[in-house]
Amino acid sequence: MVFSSLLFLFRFLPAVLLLYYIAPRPLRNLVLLLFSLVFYAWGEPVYIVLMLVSILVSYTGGILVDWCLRRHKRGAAKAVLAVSSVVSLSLLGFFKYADFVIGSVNALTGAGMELLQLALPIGISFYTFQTMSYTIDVYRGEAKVQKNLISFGAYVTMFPQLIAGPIVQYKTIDAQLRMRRESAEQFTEGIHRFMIGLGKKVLLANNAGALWDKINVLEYGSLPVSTAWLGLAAYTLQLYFDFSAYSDMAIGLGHMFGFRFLENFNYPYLSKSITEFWRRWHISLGTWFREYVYIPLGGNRVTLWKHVRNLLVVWILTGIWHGANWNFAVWGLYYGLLLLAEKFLWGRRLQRLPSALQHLYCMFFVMLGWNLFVFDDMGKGLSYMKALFGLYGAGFGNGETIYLLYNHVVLLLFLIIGSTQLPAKLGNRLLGRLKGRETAVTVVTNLFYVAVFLLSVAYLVDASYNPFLYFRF
Amino acid sequence: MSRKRSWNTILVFCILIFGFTAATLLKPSSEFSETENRALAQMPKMELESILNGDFEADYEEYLTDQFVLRDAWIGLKTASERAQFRQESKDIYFAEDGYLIEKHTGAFTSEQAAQNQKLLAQFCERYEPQFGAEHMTVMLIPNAVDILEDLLPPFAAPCEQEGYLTQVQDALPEGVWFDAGAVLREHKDEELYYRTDHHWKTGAAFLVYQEWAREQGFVVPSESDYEIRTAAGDFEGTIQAKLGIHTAKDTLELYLPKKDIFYTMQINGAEKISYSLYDETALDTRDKYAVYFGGNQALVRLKARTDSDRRLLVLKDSYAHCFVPFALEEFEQIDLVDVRYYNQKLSELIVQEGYTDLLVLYNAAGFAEDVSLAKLLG
Repeated sequence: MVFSSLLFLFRFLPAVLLLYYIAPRPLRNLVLLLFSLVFYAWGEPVYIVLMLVSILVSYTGGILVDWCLRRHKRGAAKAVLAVSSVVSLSLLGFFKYADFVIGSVNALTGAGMELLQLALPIGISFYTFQTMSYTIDVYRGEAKVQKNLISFGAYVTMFPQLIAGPIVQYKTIDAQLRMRRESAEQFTEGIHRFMIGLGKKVLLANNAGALWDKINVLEYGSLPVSTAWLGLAAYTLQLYFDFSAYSDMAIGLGHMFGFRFLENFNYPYLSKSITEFWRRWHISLGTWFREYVYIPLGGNRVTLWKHVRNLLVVWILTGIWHGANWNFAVWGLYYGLLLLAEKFLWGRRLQRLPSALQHLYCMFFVMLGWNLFVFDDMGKGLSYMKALFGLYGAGFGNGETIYLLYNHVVLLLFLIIGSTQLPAKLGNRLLGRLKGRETAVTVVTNLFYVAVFLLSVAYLVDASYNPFLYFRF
Repeated sequence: MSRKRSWNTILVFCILIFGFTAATLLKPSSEFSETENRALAQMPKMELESILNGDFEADYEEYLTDQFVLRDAWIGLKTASERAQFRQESKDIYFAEDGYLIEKHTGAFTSEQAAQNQKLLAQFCERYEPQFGAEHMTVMLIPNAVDILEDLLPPFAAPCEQEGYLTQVQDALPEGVWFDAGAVLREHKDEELYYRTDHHWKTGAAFLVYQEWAREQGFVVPSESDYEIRTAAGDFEGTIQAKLGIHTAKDTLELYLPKKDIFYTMQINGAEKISYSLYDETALDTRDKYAVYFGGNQALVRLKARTDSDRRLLVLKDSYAHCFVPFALEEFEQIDLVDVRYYNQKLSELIVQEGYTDLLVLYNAAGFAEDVSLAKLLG
């Protein structure tokens, strides 16, 4: 199930809210668990078994690790951790990467092995990382063991963040799972955040995606430079709005049930360098790789070449995490190299440039990155890149470019302004001006959110285009 | 944030979420959408198997969307929001000048289906040419508004691929079979040729084309003064309007009623319905006013007129033929209109049985290119 659907808004959400708040406090995690299972199973019930296995593995793993540690058997604890991590990674590896490996082996050796054609279990990359972080943190003594299977199940399956993150580390919500106080203030915060996310997804991301699709179906060979960039810009904006909207909705829903998840995006397209970009984009994933891969490998407190190796390993893994395809590995490597370059080659000089140029530099490479990212077929990706640089000689622009631009000018303005802090600042200034006039503030904010909601529903009722990009990860 | 303000917001939120939920649960399911002219999805049956393979879930979501309260209003709200952003099109429909809503037909003419239909039609004509003779066969594919009314499209709108496709169709046909309706319409492109809100051509446009065709065929060429042109409906909003849900212009639907008496009978689908009028006036009170002709799409309509002619015409057609054929009533003792989309008998048998002397293929260009039942022509 996805949040941006009539089914979620007018069946699932009212039902879960109602039962959650009717249930006495000790049963609330159970309500969350049961609803989350329905949420996950909707449309693809079979893989629920896989998720349950994954939960059981890390649940028992956590208890055993804790048991060993209490008896000061560090070696045994390490062994348990290793087993549980290997099992988790094997499940992920098998269901997500088996065909990728087979296909690559076939391509290299001509072995002709048959592909397994498994459908990718939704959210497997996200929940595997969550369950692994839990056992590791128990081993490191950073998280308390969770002996209540229902609470642990509720943590892993929790529908707000189940299928597309943010990747919530167990230690950050351990206390909330055991004891949390929902409040009207937090619930309201949740409503606002959810509405913003819904609007960003349905009104902005989907329409940006429709523009990208329109351009992507054109013949690349006759694509003028400006149309190609317009298309890539549309995809760039779609990806940010799609994904960050999902995090907004997840965080908002978390609030409604009394949880506080960490932020996942911080205006990434305002970055002035690639290093900064990755501190602002998909923060929970970056954190995960830093804590569980980069630092254990030694981070930057090692020899230079090992430091370089560590960075490249992390970034190739980050790439492959996004999808079982070579283009994702290349995309990860691309960022690994860019980050190395900023560290050792031009980072200092970059900072001395005028800030407009720094922004330009950053967005240029980010957009080229998305060009690698969007095409599973790398040949197609290269053809599109050729169009970006006018290598087909198709000119700078044509009538169609003008048509597409003036038809989408309002949308593009919303998208571009929406990826900056401006709307938040304006909103705060407006509310500041209304300070002390309680009724006015209530009316203005509610009108705004109701309008966003109603417009989003209209787009959902008449949905011709409502994909969800991070679904395949 | 104050506590009171929070409760206000929560109240508004609950009204929205629970209110619409209750409304969708209480609203009885409709079978059919008159605006969209299609059957709506119904509550799917809950069975273990369909739940496990995901069919139930998919069907349920379709049902929820189709049956959502105030569906038409939501669709209208969406279109209004797109227009407010200066969009020149929505759902592949241009907001053209003069209040015209014009379908783009993106990709319709370059699809595999289009290429295949062109071949099927050519084969069909080759097969029957020896029997009828090219001078007794006519193929006319009526260009759609997006082609003829090009001048009304928004600035820099992409040209449509229709003309090139029609040339291909024409080139593949036996000599002398193609009738260039587009040329006639283009000459009159400043007149009212198409409905502003519906995908059909207007009766007046059909009349212009008929005049030219009659001249070519050696029939009596009628003039407008032979008809009483009656406005049968002045508040017609057609299929394109329905897709967008907004109200732009209202169309008028004119009937050309011959001043002199013509006696004929009309049989629909064998003996299903026999009538002495082509026109089903009850349709004028419904949304689908174009169904005033023959009561809408029928598999087989047989017209028999009292006339001196002994020629018999077979018309293979879509609904564009409905306002065209009445002009030819007196030229044939029998006219059979077959809509192959609905006609499930063997066409070759019908042709043998009825001893036709003439053949007319009349479709709108996009409808022809997208039709999936043309293989039946060779059946």
